[in-house]
Amino acid sequence: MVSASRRLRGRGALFIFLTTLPALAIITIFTLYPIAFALWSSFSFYDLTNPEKTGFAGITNYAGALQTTGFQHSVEASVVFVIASFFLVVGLALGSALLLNEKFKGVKYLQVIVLLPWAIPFVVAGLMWRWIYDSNYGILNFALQSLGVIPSYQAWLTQPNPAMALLIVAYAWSEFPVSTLLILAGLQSVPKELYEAAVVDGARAFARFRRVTLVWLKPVLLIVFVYETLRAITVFDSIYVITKGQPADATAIISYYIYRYLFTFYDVGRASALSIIVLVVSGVLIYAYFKFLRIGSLELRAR
Amino acid sequence: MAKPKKKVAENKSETSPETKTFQDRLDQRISRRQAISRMGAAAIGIGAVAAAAAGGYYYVSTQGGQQRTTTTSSAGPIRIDFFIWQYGVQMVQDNVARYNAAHPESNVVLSSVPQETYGDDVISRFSSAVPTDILYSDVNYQILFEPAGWIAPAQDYFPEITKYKADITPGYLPGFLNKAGKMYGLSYYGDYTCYLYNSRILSQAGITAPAQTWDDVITHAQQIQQKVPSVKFPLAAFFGSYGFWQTFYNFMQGINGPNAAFFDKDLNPIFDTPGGPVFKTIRWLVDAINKYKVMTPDTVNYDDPTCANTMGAGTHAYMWEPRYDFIGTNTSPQKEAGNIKQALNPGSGYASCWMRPYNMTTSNVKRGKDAMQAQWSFQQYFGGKTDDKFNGDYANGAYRVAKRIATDLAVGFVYDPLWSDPDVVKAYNSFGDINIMKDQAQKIVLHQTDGLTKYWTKWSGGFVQGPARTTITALMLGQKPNTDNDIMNALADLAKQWNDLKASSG
Amino acid sequence: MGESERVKRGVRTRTIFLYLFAVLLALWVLFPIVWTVLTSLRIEAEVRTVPPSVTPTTINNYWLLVDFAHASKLFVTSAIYFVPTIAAEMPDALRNSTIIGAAIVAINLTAGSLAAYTFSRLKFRGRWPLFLYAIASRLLPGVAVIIPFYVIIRTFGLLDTTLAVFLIHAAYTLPFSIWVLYTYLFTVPTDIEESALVDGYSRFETLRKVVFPVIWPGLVAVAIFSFMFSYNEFFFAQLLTTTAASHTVPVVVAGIGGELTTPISLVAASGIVAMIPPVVIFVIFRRRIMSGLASGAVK
Repeated sequence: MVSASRRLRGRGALFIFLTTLPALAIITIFTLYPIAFALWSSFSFYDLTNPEKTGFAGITNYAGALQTTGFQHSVEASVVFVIASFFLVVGLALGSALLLNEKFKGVKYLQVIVLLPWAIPFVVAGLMWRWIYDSNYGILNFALQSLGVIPSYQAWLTQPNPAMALLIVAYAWSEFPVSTLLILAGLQSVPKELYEAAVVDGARAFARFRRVTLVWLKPVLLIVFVYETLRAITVFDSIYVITKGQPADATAIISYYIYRYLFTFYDVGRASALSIIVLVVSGVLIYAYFKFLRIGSLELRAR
Repeated sequence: MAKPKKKVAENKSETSPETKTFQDRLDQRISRRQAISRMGAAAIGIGAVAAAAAGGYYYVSTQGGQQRTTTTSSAGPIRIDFFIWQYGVQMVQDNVARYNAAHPESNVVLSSVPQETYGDDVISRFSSAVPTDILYSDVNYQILFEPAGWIAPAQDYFPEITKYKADITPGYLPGFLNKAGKMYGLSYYGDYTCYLYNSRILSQAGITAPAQTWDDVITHAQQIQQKVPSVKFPLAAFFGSYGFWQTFYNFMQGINGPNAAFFDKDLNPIFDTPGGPVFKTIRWLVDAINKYKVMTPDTVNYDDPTCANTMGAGTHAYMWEPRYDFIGTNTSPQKEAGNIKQALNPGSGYASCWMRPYNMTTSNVKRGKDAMQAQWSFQQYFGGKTDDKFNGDYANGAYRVAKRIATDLAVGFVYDPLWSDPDVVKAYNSFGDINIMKDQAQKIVLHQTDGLTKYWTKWSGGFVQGPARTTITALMLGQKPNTDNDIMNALADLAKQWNDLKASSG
Repeated sequence: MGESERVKRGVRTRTIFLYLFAVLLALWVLFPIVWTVLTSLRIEAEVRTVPPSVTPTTINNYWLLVDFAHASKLFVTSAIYFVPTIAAEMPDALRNSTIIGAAIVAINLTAGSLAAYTFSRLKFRGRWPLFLYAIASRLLPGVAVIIPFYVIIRTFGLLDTTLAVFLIHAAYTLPFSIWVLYTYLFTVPTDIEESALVDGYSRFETLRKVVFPVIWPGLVAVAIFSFMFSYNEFFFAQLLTTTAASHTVPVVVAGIGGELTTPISLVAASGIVAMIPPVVIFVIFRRRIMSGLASGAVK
C-alpha cells in the first residue's frame, strides 16, 4: 500500500513539478539576476560619467552613502512620510472595515464604492489630486477660501509641509481600500460564538472589541502592517506625478529619490548601494514587526 | 477571466474515498491506467496550449515590437531606429512614413517616450546596449554621451555637414560643436524664451506699453494688482519641468547683458562674486516673489501647459515662456486669444535660447557603411535640406521637416533662411508678429555652453533637481532666509560644490 | 425608562452614527472621482475659472479617447498643438492592459498554485526563505533593476512588447501568490489527501476535489490582487514600452498628463476611462471577492 502510493506520488508529483518550471524560470530570471546585478554593481565602480573607472569598489559605495547628496534629507522625509501615511492608511482601513462589517441598508454599495480608489492606477489618481491642489484653479483652494480658512488661493505644493501633507492624503486615498478589504475579510471570519460568549461573560462593546476582535485580527493586522509599510517605503508613482520630490526635495521619498539620484549623478554603483540599504532596512523593519507582534513563524490558524 | 482554471467540484457523485471496497480497488487499477493515459493527454494538452500561447505571444510581439538584427542583412530594407520624445508624434510619424515611401531601401522605425523621462530612458537604454541609430539629443547630453562612447559626431563621417554652419543663426551655433569643434549633427529645432504681455490687462491697468526695464516690470505689476483685481500675481515664468535653467539665464541675460555667466572660460565659478550678475538675478526674483509679491511662488512648478494655459486664461499679465508655447497661449479656445503680444526681453533685450540636435550613435557606426549612410540620409531629410526625392542636397534642396515643424507646430528653428519663407511668415503671423520674433532671434544667448562639462548636471540638476536648482528654488520660495548675505553664502556653498566636482572629475 | 426603551434608543443612536460615517466615507472616496468627472465634461478653455465651474458642457474628451482620428478632426481647432496624440492610444492601452492582466491572473492561478502545491507536498520547509524572497523583490527600489531588466528584455528580443510587461508583472506577482497559497496549503490536512491518493485517485483528481475547494478563497485573493497589481503597475510598464503596441493604461494616462500641451479636461477623461475595466470586474465579482476573502482567506 505504501509503495503504491509512493509510486503514484512520484509520477504525479514529477509531472506537476515540471509544469511549474516555466513560472519558476520567469521568477528566477527576473528576480535573481536583477538582485544579483544590484548587489554586484553596489560593490563596483560604475559611474556613467567616468566609464574608464571600473572594478571592485569594496564598500566605497556604502561607506559614502550617508554623504550622498540629498540622501539624509530624503531619509528624513521618508520617515515622516512612512509613519504618517501608515497611521492614516491603517486608521482609515480599520475604521472603514469596521463600518462595512455592520449590517445596514446600502452597505453592499458602500463596499464597492470603497474599492474604487483601488481601481484607479496611482498615477491617474495622482493627476486627479494634483488638479485638486492646483494653485490657481484647484477646488481645495476654493473650498478653503469659501470656508474662510485662507484669505486667498495658495500654492500648496510649493511649501514643504503642506506639500508633504497633501501627498500623504492623496496616497492614503489610493492605498486604504486594499487594507480595508483585508481587514474586512478578517472581521467577517470571526466566529460569532466568540462574541456570544463574550456577551454572556458580560463584556461591553469596547471590551468585546479588544478581547475578541483584535485578538482574532492579529494575523490580519500583521499582514496589513507589513504590507502598508512596504508600500509606503516603495511608493514612487504618487510622487512622480504629484510633486516630483518638490518643493526643493522636501517630498523626495526614498524610492523616488534614488531614481532621481541615478539620473542626475549617473552613479549606478552608488544608486545600487542605496537601494540595497533600503532593502536591508525594510527587511529589518518587517522582521521587527513579526517579533513585536509575537507571531513567531507565520502561523495561520488551522480550521 | 478571474476564475481558477481548475473548477471546484463539490459533492460530485463519484464515490468518496472512505467507501471503497476491494472490488472497487480492483476496478481502480484499470482506471489507474486510464488515469495515467488521462494524465498523458492532459500533459500533451497543456503542452500544446502552452506552446500555442507562447507562439501566439511571440507572433503578436514581433508584429508591433522592436525586433532587431545587429547586422544589416542584404535581404530587405536597412532598419534605422529613431528614438524621440513625445511631442508632435503624429507629425513625426507622418514625416517618417513619407521618407520610408521615398526610400524603400531603408526602413525607419520610430520609438517614443514621454519628455519627462526621456533623458533617463536614453541613459538606461544606452547602458543596456539597446540599439538606436539616431535620436533627439541635447547640448548637455552630448557632453556626456560622447565620452561614454554612445554617440559620434556626424562630422567625423560626413564632413559635408559643415556647409550648414552658414545657415545657422549665430546664437545657436555653439551647441552644435564638440570640444574639438566638430559638429555632432543637424538640428531638430531651436527656440528661445519669449517675453509676453496681455495687452487687455495692461490697458485696463492704464499701461500703454509693456515694461522694458526690470524696475518697470515690478512697478507695472504692482499697478496691475491694484487696478485689475482678477490678476492676483501678474508675473510668472517657466521655472518648472525642464525650464528652470533656460528661464533663469533668460532673466540673467536681461538683467545683466549677454555676457553674464556662472563660469569663466576655464570653468571656474564666478557667480560667487558679491553683487555679481547671478546675485542680482536671484535678488530680483526673490524680491518679486517675497517682497513685492507680484510673481506667483508656484512659478517654480510651472511647466509648458501651465504657462500657456494660465496666461491664456488671463491669470497673469506678463509671462516668460518658450516661444513655441506662444501659439498655444494666444489662439482659440484660450480666453485671452488675440490679446497676448510679444516684446523684446526687458533690460538688455537679450533672451536665452536652446536647441536640440540629432545625434548619431556609435552603434549605428558599428553597423557599417550602409547603415550609416541610411541614417545620414534620413537625418538630412529631418534636419537639413533635401530635394523632392528626399535626398540630401544642400545646394538646391529645401528645409522640409524643419519648415514643417515651424508651420504646423509653430516651433522655432535654427536656420536663418526660414525666417523669410512665406509659409513660415504666414504661420507665425497667425498668432504673433514675426518681425518681433525675428528681432529677438538676433539677440539670443545659448545658455547651455556655460559650464558645459560632464558634471554640470550633477551640480545643477539639469532638466530636473540638483543642488544648485534646489538652492535657488529654496531662496525663491522664501524657504531659506534671503538677505544679501544669505544669498552670497548659498552661492559660496555652491561654488565649493562645483570646485569639488571639478577636482574629482579631473 | 424601561430597559427595552434604553436599548432601542441606543440602537437608534448607533444607526444614526453608522449612517453618518457611511456618508462621510462615501464622500471621502467619491469626491475626487466626481470632481474629475465634472472636469472631464468641460471644454478646456473653460476649465480654468475662479470659482471652479461645474456645469458639463461637452463630452468631446471622451470621444477623443474612443475615436481620436475622427474626433480630433471634428472638435479640435489646432489639432496637433492642443491634443496630445498619445490620447489616440487609449483603446490600444485598454486592450493591452486587460490582456496582460488576464494573463497574469491565469499564470498566477495555474503556475502559482501548482508551484505552491509542489512546494508544500515536497515537504519543502522553506516558509521563511520563500516569504523573504517574495518580499525582497518587492522591497528593492525599482531603479536598481532598470539596467538588468533592459538587458534581459533586449536579449530576448522583447523590447516594446506586451510579453515583456507580462513577464515582469509575473515575476513580481508570482512569489507572493505562491507564498500565500503555500501557507494556505498548510491548513489542508494531508490525511484526506493521502487517503484519496491511496485509494487510487490521480494527483490531478485529488487536486481538483480535495485541495482546491479548501484553498479556493486563497485563489480568489490571488486572482484579484495579481490583476490589480498588473493593471496599476506603472514604473516598469513605462520603462519598457515605446509604442501603442504595448503601452498600458497607466502609461498612456501619464503620457497625456505629461505632454507639452496637456489639456487637463482630457487628462480627467482619461482617468475616468482608465477606471472602467477594474470597476467592471469589481461589480461583477463583488460577491465572489467578498465571500471568497471572508471565508477565511486571511485568517
